[in-house]
Amino acid sequence: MINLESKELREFILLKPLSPNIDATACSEFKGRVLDLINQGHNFFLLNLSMVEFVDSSGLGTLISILKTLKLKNGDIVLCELNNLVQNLFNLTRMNLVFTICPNEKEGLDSLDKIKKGIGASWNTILGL
Amino acid sequence: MIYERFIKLTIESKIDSIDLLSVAVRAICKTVIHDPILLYNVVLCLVEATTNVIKHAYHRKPGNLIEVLITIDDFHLVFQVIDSGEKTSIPPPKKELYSNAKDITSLPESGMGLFLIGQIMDQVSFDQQEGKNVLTMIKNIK
Repeated sequence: MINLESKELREFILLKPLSPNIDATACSEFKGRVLDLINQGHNFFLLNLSMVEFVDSSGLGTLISILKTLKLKNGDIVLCELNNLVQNLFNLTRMNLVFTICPNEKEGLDSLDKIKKGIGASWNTILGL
Repeated sequence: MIYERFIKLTIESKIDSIDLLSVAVRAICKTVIHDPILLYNVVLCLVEATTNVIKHAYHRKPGNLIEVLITIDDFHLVFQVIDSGEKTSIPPPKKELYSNAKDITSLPESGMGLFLIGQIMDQVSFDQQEGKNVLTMIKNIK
């Protein structure tokens, strides 16, 4: 069972797993909890991984799946506070080029702000606003 | 003369048993690996290999056994993951997981375990011995 803290911060959802592993044991419950939030209408997430010590390919696949779901809804998920071991997994798989990864929550929220405004701007351009 | 030691660990074919294996393997490998990233990567390979066995050889059915034989000598860490599940074969690991980071639809959600094993280990082989699947992974430690 994964211990996952979630709260609204600005207009985003901050997710913070308090369990040390996002792996094959934890990933389906983790995904279910995030999908529940997406189904409630939330499309922008900041995932704080400071308490996470281990992510395997199942956990990584879950994060990719969530990212795909959000991108289809013009949303996004930004990651922050990865320790160097978890960052190493993202580097090995080159998922560091796919996800926006920030050093801390403040920069993560600022990044989400920019992403959201960027999407808004592109829609405004499309709509001629 | 090469100084060699080995230990054999056995877990049940349940995803939540992998945690136990992971803790034990980390402690064993820590005796010869002092770089935390390499230690993480080696444990990751064992987790990926046993997860694959549970999913693909045992089709997630509990009650079966997975043996992990770890042999340590002065130069190598050798892991053998042995199961009696469905005869499987492993495809050659992919060189890249995706071609374009901007093409979200092309990103993989599964099948990354073998890629990681191929990236991290120095030698990987797979064969059948006495009706069992045997995955051998070797990491040079010197």
